[in-house]
Amino acid sequence: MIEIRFHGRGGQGSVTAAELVAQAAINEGKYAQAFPSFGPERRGAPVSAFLRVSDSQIFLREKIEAPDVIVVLDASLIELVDVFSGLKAGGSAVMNCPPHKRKSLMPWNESYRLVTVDATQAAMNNIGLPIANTAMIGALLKGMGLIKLDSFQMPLQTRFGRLAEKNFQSMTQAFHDAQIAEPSGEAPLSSPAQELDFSGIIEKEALMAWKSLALGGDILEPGNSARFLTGTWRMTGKPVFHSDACTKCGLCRLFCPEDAIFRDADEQFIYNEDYCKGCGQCARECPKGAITMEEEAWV
Amino acid sequence: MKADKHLEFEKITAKALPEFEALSPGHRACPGCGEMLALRQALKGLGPNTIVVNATGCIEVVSTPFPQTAWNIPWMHVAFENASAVGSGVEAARRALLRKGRLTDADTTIVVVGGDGGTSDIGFQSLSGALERGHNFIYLCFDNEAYMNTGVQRSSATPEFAWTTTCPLGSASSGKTHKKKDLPRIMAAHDIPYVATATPAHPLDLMNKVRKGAAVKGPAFIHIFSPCPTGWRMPAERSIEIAKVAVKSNIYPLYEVIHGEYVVKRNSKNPLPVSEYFKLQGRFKHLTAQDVRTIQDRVDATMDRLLSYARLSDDTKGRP
Amino acid sequence: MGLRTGIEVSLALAEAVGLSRADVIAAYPITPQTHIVEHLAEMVAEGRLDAEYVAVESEHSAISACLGSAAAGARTFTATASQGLAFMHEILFIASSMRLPLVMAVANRTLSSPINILADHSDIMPERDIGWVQLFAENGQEAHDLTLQAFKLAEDSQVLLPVLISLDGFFLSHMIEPVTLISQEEADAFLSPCTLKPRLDPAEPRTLGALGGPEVYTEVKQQQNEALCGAVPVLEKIWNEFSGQFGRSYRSLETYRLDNAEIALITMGAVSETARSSVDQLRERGIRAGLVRIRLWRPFPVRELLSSLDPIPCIAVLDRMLSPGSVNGPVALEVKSAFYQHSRQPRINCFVAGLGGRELSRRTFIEMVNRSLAGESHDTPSIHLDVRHA
Repeated sequence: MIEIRFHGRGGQGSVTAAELVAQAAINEGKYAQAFPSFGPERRGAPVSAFLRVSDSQIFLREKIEAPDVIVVLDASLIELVDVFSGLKAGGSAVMNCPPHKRKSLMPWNESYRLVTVDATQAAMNNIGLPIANTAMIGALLKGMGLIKLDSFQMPLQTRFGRLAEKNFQSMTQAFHDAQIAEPSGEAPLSSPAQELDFSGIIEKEALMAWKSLALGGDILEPGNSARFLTGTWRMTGKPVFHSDACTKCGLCRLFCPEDAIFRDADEQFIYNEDYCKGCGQCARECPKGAITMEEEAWV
Repeated sequence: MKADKHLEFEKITAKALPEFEALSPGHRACPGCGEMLALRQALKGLGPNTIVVNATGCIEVVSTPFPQTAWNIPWMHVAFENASAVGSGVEAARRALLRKGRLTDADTTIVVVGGDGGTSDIGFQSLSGALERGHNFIYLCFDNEAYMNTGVQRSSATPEFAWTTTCPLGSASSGKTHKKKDLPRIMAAHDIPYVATATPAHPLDLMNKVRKGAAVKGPAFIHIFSPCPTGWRMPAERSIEIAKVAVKSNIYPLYEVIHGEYVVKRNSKNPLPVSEYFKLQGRFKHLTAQDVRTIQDRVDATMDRLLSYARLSDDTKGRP
Repeated sequence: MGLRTGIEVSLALAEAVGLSRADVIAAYPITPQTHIVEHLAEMVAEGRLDAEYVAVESEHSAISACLGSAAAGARTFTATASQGLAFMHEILFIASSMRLPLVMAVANRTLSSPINILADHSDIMPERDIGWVQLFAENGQEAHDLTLQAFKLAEDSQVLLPVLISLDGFFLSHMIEPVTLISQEEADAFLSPCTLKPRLDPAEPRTLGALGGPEVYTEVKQQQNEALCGAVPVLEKIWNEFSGQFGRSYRSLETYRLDNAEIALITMGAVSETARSSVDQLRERGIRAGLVRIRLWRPFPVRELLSSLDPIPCIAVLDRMLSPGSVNGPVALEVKSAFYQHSRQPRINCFVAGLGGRELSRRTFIEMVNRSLAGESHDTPSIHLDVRHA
């Protein structure tokens, strides 16, 4: 049995990817399970999905804590979530990553097998949209074998109808483009991810003893959601404020669902990168065109 | 403006916007959420002396995942269908405690918040009951025209022909086959002192309507058009634009019913064709030219009716 | 001093709500609860009770308004029965889990269908896991006294939970009988004015009823259960105080003629008085019968039950609800469960009877005793005592 954990953002199709692989495996006569993680998170928020594939019947209905493989649909998640958490030593990390960023992944190659592909580009080439989930399946197949490409024809057809062929092409391209780097060294005891700061992640502070709970589970600290940094959800760029064109009308601030626009010491409007989800309404609604949405540098 | 004479309140102007924020950032709403935006604006209009009772729905879920809350004001959630009843209890209790001298601040505004499901469907009865009993609270209905919290299922507020996951498209279906329930008009039929429609694309208008709602004695109902990029299948940056188009095309007319009198403002003499509204949203992309004509006729007729109510209200002024 | 008077039990209960100086009453009328809420509305209308009477449009809204009222810091009361209680179902759990103190009277009536307005415990028994303190009154005096005590218990800082009082529909709720009504002066001495701190307070904003995932749900439930179990010593203290002031003593269960008994009946509610008379009749005939009447149903008084039944070899439990497909009715299951792994294993029979107003008389209890003593095995399913088979 192989256990796979998918990491993506709400809306990127991680759950769909896990489901498609499960269906293809089942169509080949194998056994498989695909299931999402459930929570209040919305589009853009880090989410995960789980997949088991086995030659024999699976008698497990628990979360996957020590996966053999992780599939990361959005490379920016590496900074936000410990995507390598529990990944078995020597396990495989299938990463969506443009070629020029591949080098930055190398620290993980010490202990893990890296399968990298520019899945977003493959999706753009074939579907015309940056929806990389089916391309990532191609990379997963390249890295792990598991299932034949052709077994995806039917599940894709069922799922996407007339877009099935384009998705299949995207998957196929990623299958061919994906590069495999075997682990370069001994498995270290800790993953480099553990040195990163996950202060924006809820799991860290959620567990409380019943005696320390306020009456009836009330939350006593007003507005403490400010500790949850939704700026990590930005997928489509950040607003850039051009003060020369700004008339300081303040509409951008009134039109921000996050209250993430404020005036700095010089009375200039700027955005708060901790909370801005990158929706782009401020840029679209600025009557003077003084805000533009620009791509962010990926660390 | 005449009807405003019936109603005294402190107006918010663009020059003097309140700094107050009832919600902190860090809530989990989708990017570009029109509902959270409208909520933020509405509560800005009220200030910190406010208690919120919230029906189950997107707002409740995205703003309070334990141990974090976005709320800077007292907030209570019990269930889906009963927010108006819970609000009735809060209001009645405070009335009793004020009378008995155990509370001293009589200026607290009680706000009940619900989505279109919690308001026009499952919470309809408790809302109607509370309005009939005259509880002094403002009900804010954030209408995003489907059950978004559970993943875009139809509600009675879903517009005709729209796609949702429970009125999907298929050889035997072209979206919702029933018309949208006209909630503001039903609320006005309760003969409460104040009913209004609003959108987050018109923030000053929205804030001032909420203030009027707080100023009247008795229930106020404000219906807020709340674009949902996720459920309406449109880009996150379009929430405000779509609300503007909805108003300009008369899909969503802005009006008030003040002590029974209809006041229609901002309606355009040359409205945009409704097709301008539909073309921005994936949930309508299957509409045929005939569907669009059907809706255009309906929108025109509804607007005519609304204007005739307003004229009637005007005509009856000053009669004994 | 209290005034001994002939009064309908519903009214005696409502008078106790008045004595508590309740701030908010939100209720929806349903038979056989109507006389309670009508009387309260009248007290408010006459200015005898300074409270808000919220005439809600359903039981669901009644209980929901009560939650809002309690959160706002008011002393809160409601009453219902049968379908109304079932309609409240989901909110009942939320009241206790959110730790909102309020008091509710339930005039027990069966559940449809067929629609039937008469008494049994089909309404209250399915609500046994709602996390409320649950008390059963036997007579008008108890209905009156327990109601006043319930406010004191609910609002105790160690408890802060909703409390309900069951009273059998009609045979108790509509009976006119002598009740010593507590005076306002006495009530004020026993129950202090409501000092609940408003949980909804703009000066100290809290978030109530947040979304709680697997990280916290279990702990909230644990807190609730600890509070419920911890309510027992508080209730005992309140009962001591009450007895000191009024001379009427209360315990979690009452026993009658258990000395030297060969069989004990277990009952709840007003029919216990009939059961008591049957015990006397049986004793006259030389059958050594006794009675345990459960007053505190939740939390269930296991220790008191076991010690009161020691060393009686045979037990006959009355269940006034059919639990379809179950081994026994809910009361018998609870009693049997209490005896599991106990060193002594008496014979326990479950008798289901008195459904939907079907008469429960002394004959019923005498038959329960006779059949139990005749050796019906304790592992048989419930005995449906009064079903007409042909």
